[in-house]
Amino acid sequence: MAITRIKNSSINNKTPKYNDVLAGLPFRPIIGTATDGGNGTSVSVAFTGNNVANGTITYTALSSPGSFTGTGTASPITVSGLTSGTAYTFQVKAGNSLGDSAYSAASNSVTPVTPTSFESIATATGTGSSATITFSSIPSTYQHLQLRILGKDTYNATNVSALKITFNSVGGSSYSSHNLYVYDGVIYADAYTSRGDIYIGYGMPQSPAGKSNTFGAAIIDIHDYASTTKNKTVRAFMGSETNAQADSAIALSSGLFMNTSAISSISISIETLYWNSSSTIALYGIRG
Amino acid sequence: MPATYEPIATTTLGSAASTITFSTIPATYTDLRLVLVTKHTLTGQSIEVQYNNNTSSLYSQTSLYGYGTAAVSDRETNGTSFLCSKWTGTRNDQPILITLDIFSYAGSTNKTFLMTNASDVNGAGGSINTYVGLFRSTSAISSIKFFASAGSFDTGTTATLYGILKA
Repeated sequence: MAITRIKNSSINNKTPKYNDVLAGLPFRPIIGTATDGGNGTSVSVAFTGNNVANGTITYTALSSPGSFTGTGTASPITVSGLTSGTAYTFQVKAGNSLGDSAYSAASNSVTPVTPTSFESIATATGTGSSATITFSSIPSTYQHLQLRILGKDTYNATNVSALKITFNSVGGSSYSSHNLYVYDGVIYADAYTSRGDIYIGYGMPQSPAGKSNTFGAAIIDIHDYASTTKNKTVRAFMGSETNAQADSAIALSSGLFMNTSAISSISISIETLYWNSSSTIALYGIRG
Repeated sequence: MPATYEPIATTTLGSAASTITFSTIPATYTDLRLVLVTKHTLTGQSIEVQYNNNTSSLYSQTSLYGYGTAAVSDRETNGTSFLCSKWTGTRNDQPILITLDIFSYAGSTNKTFLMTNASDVNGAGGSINTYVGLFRSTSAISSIKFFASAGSFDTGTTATLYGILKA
């Protein structure tokens, strides 16, 4: 067999130099990013195959620890059989009928995690100077969403504020809602149709002097948020209690987003002024 | 690190009891949720809740409830406990479902909580009750006690405390 000296300036990320290789063998791959496979037992390993070798190239990814492998002909490769909660790194080699390359450098460390039914997606905090908090790039991998809010309005008054919700930056007349609530000792029921937002209330206290330690609470459920065939139904339960009637309220609300697109962003606005800087809104995903 | 939503403790009564208590609650979560399913031998009495065995006048609440013929609202202020049942008649025939959500229970602000209390008896006496409550204490909640001024929770009553963690 003739040995041919081949110049390759990109092998192994080294500075350009000549490397002696046997003609026809695949080159060592360049490792990319390893990411959690989402089921607790697998990882997806990306790489760049830098080959002009003969024949079909098969790539093998190898885990450390455990030496679990996955094979494929293109990036990424899935390595299965891993243990949830264990940190792994991965290397990739290329092979053809003539033999294998060396393994690549090691990837980043990744720990596969078994998904649970109720997961925290993100948490946002009020700024004290903005009325709206937005969650964007919401993954479509859950069945329902839940928002849990502990907050208040910065407006200086002994009163309560409503909340307004929009999805996917859609306004117009795409929303409706019904509310049953107690405010200042009186029971009310109201309805809103063809609005630019879901109007629910009342339940967030405002900020009079002497009540800095008291916040309102809300639980807002959004069902089948990722459906592309259904309009979206919202249910809210919220309340403010301050040991005084004037700024105490409790509300039950239903809402509708008349749109069959999957929800990928949610904006929650407080009615009167701004979200207090100690307000928190936590977004959770619930699996079906 | 605890999971996002996980049971902290659960109790099932093997015999009737006048109190149900969760104590030594870890401060490692963001919110707490308690689910209680019970029948009891109370007649027109209220189930009450106290935090940290605190009997000071630090509890207040606003309620909205219905008995089947009307919607009613009332308030309690400066109470020594939280009153979480407003029904009339006996309640040892059908189970009652109570859910209690306590927000930022280990934080340094006053403690706000939401409660629902549902019971239906296929006739008069059923009710749906919702509450918002305030415990004017900036201390972390480390114990929760359900009790009744008279009567007891029946055998088979179950109560589970969950911890919810935010990102």
